[in-house]
Amino acid sequence: MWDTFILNPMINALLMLYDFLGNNFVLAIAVFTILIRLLTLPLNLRQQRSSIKMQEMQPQIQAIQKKYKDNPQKMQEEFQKIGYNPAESLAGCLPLLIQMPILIGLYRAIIIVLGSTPQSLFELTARVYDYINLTDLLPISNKFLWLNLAQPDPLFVLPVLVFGTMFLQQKLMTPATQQQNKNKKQDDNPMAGMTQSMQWTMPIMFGFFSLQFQAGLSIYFVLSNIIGIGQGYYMRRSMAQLKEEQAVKKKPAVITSEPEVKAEPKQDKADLEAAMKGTPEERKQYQPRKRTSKRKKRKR
Amino acid sequence: MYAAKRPLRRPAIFLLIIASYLLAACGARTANTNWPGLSTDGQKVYVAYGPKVLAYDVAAQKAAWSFFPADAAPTLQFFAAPSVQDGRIILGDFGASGGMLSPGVVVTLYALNDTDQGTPESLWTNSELVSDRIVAPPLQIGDQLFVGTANNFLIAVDATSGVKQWEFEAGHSIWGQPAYKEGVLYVSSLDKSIYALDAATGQKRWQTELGGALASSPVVNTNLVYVASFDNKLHALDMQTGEEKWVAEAQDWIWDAPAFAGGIVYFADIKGNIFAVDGESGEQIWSQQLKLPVQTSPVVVDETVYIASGDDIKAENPQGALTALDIADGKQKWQQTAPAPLYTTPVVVGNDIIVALQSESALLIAFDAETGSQNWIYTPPQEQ
Repeated sequence: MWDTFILNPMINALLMLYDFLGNNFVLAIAVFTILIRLLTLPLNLRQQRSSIKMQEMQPQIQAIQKKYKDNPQKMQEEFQKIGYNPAESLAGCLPLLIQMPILIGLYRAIIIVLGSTPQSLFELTARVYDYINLTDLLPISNKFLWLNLAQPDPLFVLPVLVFGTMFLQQKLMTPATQQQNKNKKQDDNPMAGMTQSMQWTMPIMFGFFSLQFQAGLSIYFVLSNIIGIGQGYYMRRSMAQLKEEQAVKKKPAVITSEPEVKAEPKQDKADLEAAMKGTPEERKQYQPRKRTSKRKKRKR
Repeated sequence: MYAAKRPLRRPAIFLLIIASYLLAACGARTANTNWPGLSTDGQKVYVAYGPKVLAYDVAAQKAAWSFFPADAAPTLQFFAAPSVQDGRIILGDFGASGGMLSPGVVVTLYALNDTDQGTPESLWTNSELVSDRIVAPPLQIGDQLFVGTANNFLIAVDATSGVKQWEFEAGHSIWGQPAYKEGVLYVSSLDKSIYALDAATGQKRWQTELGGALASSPVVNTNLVYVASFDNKLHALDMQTGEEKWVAEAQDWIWDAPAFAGGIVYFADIKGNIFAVDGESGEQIWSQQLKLPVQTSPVVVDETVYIASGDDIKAENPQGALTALDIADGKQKWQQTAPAPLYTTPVVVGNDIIVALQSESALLIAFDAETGSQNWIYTPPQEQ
């Protein structure tokens, strides 16, 4: 099932791209990575947004937990007040889990297509759809710059790039508030501690893996990370913008909305009374004021 | 209640993610395998089957020795058929990474002397000659050694000292053993080309590009070079010029080299069709359908053509088969099954036709060449 629904379609898509892109395997990997990232973009954004939101709420959550540790009922109520739902935090991780098979399938596909032994080629033939002419596509070009795509990069460039790009990506996924507070004791916030350690451990781990991986696979990681960096940058910017807008909206709302909302019915009543006392023309001209503010403002 | 569960949930998700990545990372290393490589000197059979190279004494029906370099990385594997000439055995490995901090793959050539005194003695070892796995069986001609590599090179080496003489770069991997005749090497490459090279200098004499990748060895007769291709054709080329003289059509890829005997060329495609064509004209003499995928070369002995075949790659318990066909008309004489698909061309020692396979139950099986009955079976002892 794994092969039929994930791995084989990916292998064939990779081969088709290789065919369309002038038998350039690096280009095929690049376009394929972009397509996959685009497909998983909604999931990614949702997961990232939820993760940032959760991390930023951590101090409040912890304070509530500490304060009401003996009163779960009250704790739940307080959580609801700040908009935190524990079930939602689990759902926030689901997109990441859904992406895992796609990611694993993608780099298994790269390994199989780049397989450089008779046995791996034979195994590839069993996975290729009938409408793809493998005879014309073979041999899959395995050279790119100084690299043999089926072997690790002997000059250490790709492992360094994998580390660097993944580090940047992880850094952009960490909320700014957490980075500002990184000098504070991490024990105060275990979630922040985990994110901080992920920021280093994941890039180091993948940097080391890249010393052993086929160069084609490392290229995929670098490209995928670069897209992730763009996505992270966009996410931070949009979150910051959202916060600014919220801050701007909050300020005037406190000063102006209350009297305006409460004054409206009284004003309408006074106008109506004045109009009724006036001439027939004045009565015709009377138009009640539009009741926009309270409901619309609530919606906003 | 949830507060008690929460501390477990996040580490669990984190571990799941890491485990998934690690799982995939381990999978990245599984592609470096191949089918066993098999050769013979007429008395022993030599089989490179991954973790070791084994010499098996056919007459005594026991393993003579097995070879694995003491200081090698545990991931090192051998799959290219060993080259044997006058007791000198040349082995090329699939390479192993130099370790976490040395990503370059180290591929080594080993020259051994089979002394019949137990373990063979080392003549020389050289890890500087090639930099990618050796799939093609090395070829020894006198004191010259020719080795094709997966990173497109053919190198010529002094077989007595292990010193490189020259190298030639093709457009893609060389998986087939070169053929040699009168000072000229004929080299096929996955780049769809066959090259004729001067064996002394490595200078190219001609190059002919064909319609499909060439994964197998060329075969030479007096004036023609035969080469099988993934374009579903067997090509016969002029030995002097590389000009195509004729082609014989198959129905699918011809994976392994043809066999030439008595003026007739025998070859098989991966759909299981066996063909016998006239060596001079390419005219078909007979064809036979095995209905089993064939990725090996036919073996011709006296009046019989032996074909080792595999099974449907999607089969749940794939088996192999060895079939004996009458050389005159291709009619089946006998067929025997093997516990795993046969992807390696069999060898003949005396009255035994010996197959090598990837199976836990057997590494080598010998069948009687005449009757097809099983003569002996060899399974390597389990490593402790």
